[in-house]
Amino acid sequence: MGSSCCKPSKEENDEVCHGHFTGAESAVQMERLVRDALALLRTFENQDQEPPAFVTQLIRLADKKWVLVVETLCRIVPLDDPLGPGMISTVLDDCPLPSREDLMDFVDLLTTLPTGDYAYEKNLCVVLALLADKLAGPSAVSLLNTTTLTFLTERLDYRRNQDTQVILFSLLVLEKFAQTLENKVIIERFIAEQPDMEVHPLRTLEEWVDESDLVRRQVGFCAQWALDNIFILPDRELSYQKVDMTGINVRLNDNDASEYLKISPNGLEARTDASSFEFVRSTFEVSRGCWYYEVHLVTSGIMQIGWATRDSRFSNHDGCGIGDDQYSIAYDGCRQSIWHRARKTPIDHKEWQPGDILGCLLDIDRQDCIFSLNGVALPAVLCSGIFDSTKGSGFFAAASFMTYQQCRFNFGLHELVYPPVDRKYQCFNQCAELSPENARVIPRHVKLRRSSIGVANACSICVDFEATIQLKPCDHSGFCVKCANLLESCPLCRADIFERRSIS
Amino acid sequence: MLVRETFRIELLWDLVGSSGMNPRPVSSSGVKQASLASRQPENLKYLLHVRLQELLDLGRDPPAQCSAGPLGEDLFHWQATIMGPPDSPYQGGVFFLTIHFPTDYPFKPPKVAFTTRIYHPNINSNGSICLDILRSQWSPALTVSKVLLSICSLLCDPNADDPLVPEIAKIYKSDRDRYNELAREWTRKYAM
Repeated sequence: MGSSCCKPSKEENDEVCHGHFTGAESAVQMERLVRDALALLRTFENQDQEPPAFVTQLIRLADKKWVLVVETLCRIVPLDDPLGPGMISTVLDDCPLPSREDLMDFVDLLTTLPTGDYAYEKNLCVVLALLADKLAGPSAVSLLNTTTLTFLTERLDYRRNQDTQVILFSLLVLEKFAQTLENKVIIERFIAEQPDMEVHPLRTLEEWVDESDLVRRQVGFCAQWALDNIFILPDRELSYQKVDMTGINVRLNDNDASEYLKISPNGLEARTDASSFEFVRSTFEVSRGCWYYEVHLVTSGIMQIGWATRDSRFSNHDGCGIGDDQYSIAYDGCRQSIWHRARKTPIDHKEWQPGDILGCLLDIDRQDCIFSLNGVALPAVLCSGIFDSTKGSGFFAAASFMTYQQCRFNFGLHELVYPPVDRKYQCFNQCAELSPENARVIPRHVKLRRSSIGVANACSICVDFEATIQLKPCDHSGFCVKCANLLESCPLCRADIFERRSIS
Repeated sequence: MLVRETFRIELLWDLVGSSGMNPRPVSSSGVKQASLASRQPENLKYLLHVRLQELLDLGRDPPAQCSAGPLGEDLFHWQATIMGPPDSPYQGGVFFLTIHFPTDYPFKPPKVAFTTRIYHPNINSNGSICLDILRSQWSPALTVSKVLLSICSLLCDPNADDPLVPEIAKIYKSDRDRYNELAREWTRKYAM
């Protein structure tokens, strides 16, 4: 069953010079190659495009010198570059899989660190996070040895003199490793056995969740999320049980978000650390009037923030987010563009920075959609197209997040910083109401425990409803009404479906 | 190996214990009413059920030389193992894979990739697998265990006419002994 089907990518066809580097010369050449590749990647957007030649060459080199490529990347990518981790991911994702020897050589790098090179330490963490994800399973278990664990837990300790970004990324690495259950147990045991830790390190870091320093705030957010979802401590109440929801009438809808988006317990702050393009819509929908909300940027990487209707279809694994269809529109201040129908319109404005405030105004009556950054309106004429394709549909506030991006939403709970002055507007929070089911953001592991199975004669596709449908003319059965209606052809014999007959 | 199996059994027990032994009527779940904007919550529920069912099926009737199960608590993310089939140059090797389920599974195929390097015309150095049933020929009737069986059969029977790695396909077609030798060498180097 099944046969191979793919055309080789161009990269594998091309005869690229492998290069024969030795000794000191190799390091210098490698460095130049990595710098060139990174410079090109910065302007590289279309994922369907073939990677630039420098990158292809780098990938070829990694076949023989994986550790050297990785080490050079880690040395060169700057600490505060918002696209840095993304560029490391792009290169490593295309590189050949490392052998066990490569992995052990990489772990050796963790023992010979130059002091105070925080960019290098952060980048090593970025690589570890990628490997923990990509090699999830037994390879990730062998990667998480005592050296790796020591490196990571030392960096969780804020009392040591170190950069907050390094704390953040070492925390994220532990989270990624913990996807593999054995590793989770190993990490929990290792932390419990640390002699000089009276409180769990994440509990200390969790206190930073409301800090105004935006890197510390990220550490706090991620520590709290990890304690609520992964490293569950018996003596700690989960945040959703104690969060104060007073006055919050609208929030980000965890039931209408992609699977790897992290949402704060009060539902007003979101983040992703997955490599997919995670999305979310608000719980409240508007179909007339003039509406405004503000987004406080915690990070300044790629996010597409704006408005979407219920017809918008996002696909986190394929990189389709808000603004990538005709039913949604978004601004991305990292690439300084408005996105609609997956096309970008460049805006002449400087890149957004952490701490900036994006204003999103939607005047449905006057057919205006205006984005503003720190109170300065971006040209509105570019946005009017959204009303042509969405006639009559209601709009939700919506956002998509690239890896390691985070922002906080103000739907009117707090005072607006840059309220519109040229027209009357409303805020979601003044008009919305949270239904009892939406009152709290419940962690997935709690939701999972509440779900159930057990239907007699269950549909073979969803295993959820009773199978009552027989397909004609092929006569195959075992599907519920819902799934049968979603099928284009018979899943068993691929015959066209002319009729879905009820046989119950 | 033993340790992982124990974990897996505990996890399985956990899942069955929390859902199967205490069945509640499906319609009473609040998840559905929470659906405001899209089919997302139902998808999640779909996914959980399908996944639990697949897990139970795998436990009951595992395909020979393969195993699969969730990595941890994230039911969207699985690991799998394929033993190199006898009578193939991969014999004796243990190959690891990861499986990611999209939210609209089983209407969309799972994303399956090797995490162990393998010398094969239809699997590249990055672990990507070129198999029609994982792309255009996917069917909602397929399951993880059927996909793993297909991959096993691809290992025994490469499709050199439609390769992902042309260099390997060329050697496979022109010099079978050399291909077998290289595949065995890679298996020793990466998978043993």
